[in-house]
Amino acid sequence: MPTADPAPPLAAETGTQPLVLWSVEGGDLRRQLASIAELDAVGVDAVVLPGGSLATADPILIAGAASRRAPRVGLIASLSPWLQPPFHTARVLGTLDALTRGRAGWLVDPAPTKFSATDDTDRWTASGVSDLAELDRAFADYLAAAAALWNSWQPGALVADVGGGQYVDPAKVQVPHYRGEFFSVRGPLNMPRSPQGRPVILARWPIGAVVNDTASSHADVLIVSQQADVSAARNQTATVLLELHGTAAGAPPATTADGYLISGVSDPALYGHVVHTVLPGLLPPTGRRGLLRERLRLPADAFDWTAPNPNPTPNATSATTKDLE
Amino acid sequence: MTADPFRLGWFGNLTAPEWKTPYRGNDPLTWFNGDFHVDMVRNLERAGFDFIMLEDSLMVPDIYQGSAEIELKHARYAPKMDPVVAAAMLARATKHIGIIATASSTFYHPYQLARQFATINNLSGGRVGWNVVTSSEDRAAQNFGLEKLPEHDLRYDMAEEFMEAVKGLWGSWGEGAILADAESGYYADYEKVQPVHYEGEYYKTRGPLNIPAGPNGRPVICQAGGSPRGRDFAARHADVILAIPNGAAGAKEYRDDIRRRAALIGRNPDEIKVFSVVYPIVGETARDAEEKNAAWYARKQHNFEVQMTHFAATMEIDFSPYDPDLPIPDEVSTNGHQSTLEIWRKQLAGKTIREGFSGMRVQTTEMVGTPDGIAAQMDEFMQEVGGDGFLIYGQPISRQYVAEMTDGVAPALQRRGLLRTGYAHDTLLGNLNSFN
Repeated sequence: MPTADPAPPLAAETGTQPLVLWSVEGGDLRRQLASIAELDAVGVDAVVLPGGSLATADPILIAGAASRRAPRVGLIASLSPWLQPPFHTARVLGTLDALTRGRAGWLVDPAPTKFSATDDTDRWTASGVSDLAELDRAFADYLAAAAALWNSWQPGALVADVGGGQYVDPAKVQVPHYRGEFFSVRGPLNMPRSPQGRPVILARWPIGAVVNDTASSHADVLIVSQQADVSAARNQTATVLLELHGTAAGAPPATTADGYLISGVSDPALYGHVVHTVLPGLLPPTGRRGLLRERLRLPADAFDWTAPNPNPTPNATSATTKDLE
Repeated sequence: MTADPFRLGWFGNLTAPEWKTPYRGNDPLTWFNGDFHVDMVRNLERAGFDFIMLEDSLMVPDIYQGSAEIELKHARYAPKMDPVVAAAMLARATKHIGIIATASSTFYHPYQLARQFATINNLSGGRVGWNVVTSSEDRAAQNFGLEKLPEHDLRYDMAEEFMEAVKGLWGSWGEGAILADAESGYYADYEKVQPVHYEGEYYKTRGPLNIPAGPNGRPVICQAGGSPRGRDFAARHADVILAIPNGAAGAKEYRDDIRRRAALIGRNPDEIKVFSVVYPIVGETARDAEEKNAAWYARKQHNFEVQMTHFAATMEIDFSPYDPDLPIPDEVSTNGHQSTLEIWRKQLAGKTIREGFSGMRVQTTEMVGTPDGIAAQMDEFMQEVGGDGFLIYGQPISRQYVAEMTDGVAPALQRRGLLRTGYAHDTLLGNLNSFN
């Protein structure tokens, strides 16, 4: 069990304003799009788009559709890894990150799937698997496969050298040949590094957790549902958010977390109160801009390119993720 | 005499725009942010195009010379971003034009694909289509944990099942299933949302889908079947067919054959619109256009390398071991686009590999002229073929080439009464069927 660090000072004491993320309610698609645009205008740092329950659409596509009329807010898709292979996930999140100039996030939910997605090949699938230890190992494998793809294009691979007639420098695109216990993917990804290098990864911290599962140990941002879990979560990652569900969002409590994830606000009167009265007191008047990972105060080196093979080129990691900015 | 009105579509993708032209601006490195494609699709909408189709592939080809070097030099197949995500964005940036995205039945599960396209069909108010491909590359299979693709005919067996499963899922929410009835407190009518229980030889999906399919009960279906098996599939399922037949005579044969196959299975042939792929070369004067055309063919080494990457990507054929100064050896075959290989073999007609491929352009027939001259050539073609539209290729795309089509050729067609000047319907299916 991790030992708790001394409690950090409250956000209010350091003068740092809290981060505010908002979990959008499912249901009517046009209402979701309108709500995302409104939360963007108010200056919310990111919206979390739901996935998984009855009548939810594919959140990646909601994010893509919202991206133009919500030009600042981070767009975080809730995706189960079990519905599609790592190549699809790496590519759609890379595409979203590119199309939003670095605002893409992935809320991972590796819980046993309610969907059944099998085929006649002998590839492993999560369908029907209820052994949590097996799912956890498979999820670690899945993340490693996705990371291999996101690292398959080195920074600076795009040259568009008209004189030399060369669009991409092929020496900077490597075949990862990823083979894990559950997933294999040859690669490379068919697109370059996205503006953030990879999407920001978020996960929920299980209430009172003592075990260290793959999602908690790999996430950039952890979401806790009670103040008592903040320090344990902070031992795992740099940024921790306290979830405020429903009426709790009407009066955010003091917290040692870095900010809040507001969820379950479906009542129109509560929605209006939180958006127009509570949020202006929490957020900087102009809103924050830039890459989602910067807004969430994440260390840049966690997003650096790393060589996909055991013999990395010397100095290659000193380059930055300039390609798609 | 003029042809009946016909349609324009664009053969697009999420790849690099033309990056060597003096009019490239900042696009070669910034197109990933979506601006280039948003601007392009808004221009196509302004010009009266029925749709843009976004083709796709799922690998960085490294077959030719056993390396990705020539592919990445020209950037024809990679980098390429996900067209379904981009379609959601493009649909929200436009009001009328259709957005058709490609997705491979080989690498999606029917449930996942049905959900994605139902989502964008809802988001777009019924303006999206699914271009059904079965994929043709082992390199792509290896990105999904498989060593090899199933062989060509088996892929079509699987695609037939896949299609049945997807259509079942789209039908799992009956008409009027969504009540949103505040009084009764029911959002959806559970009796109108039914499981599918699809069980085929290759796919199983229980259903129901977790979202209704949206306007028209399904997205538009687009396909590009060339082989006999592919033609049957297209005639059975497609609303839009893309084809690259050989000349107007080949286009007429192809269209008549599709219509005959459709009628045989009881479909109204007019429900299917066949688009022939063309690559018009446009100039301000006829002479200017001829010079541009000659300059295009004069880039022999460039054209040769680009064709080598096409073969490597779609057929997984590496021509580098063969003598480029001899014809294609008979032993060359493919598990990829079979019909295309045969067409190309015929078109080369004994020419050497180098000579033949350096002079090859993706087009049904050559069109060179002023905007009005192109309009006249399209008119003449359609008088012979009888319908239904042209798919503009012009890869890689440049803003200049888009303008030649949207502000040159399209208005010239409109002046001749051959192209729509507005959109009568809200949905792509509605607009595709607004005239025959």
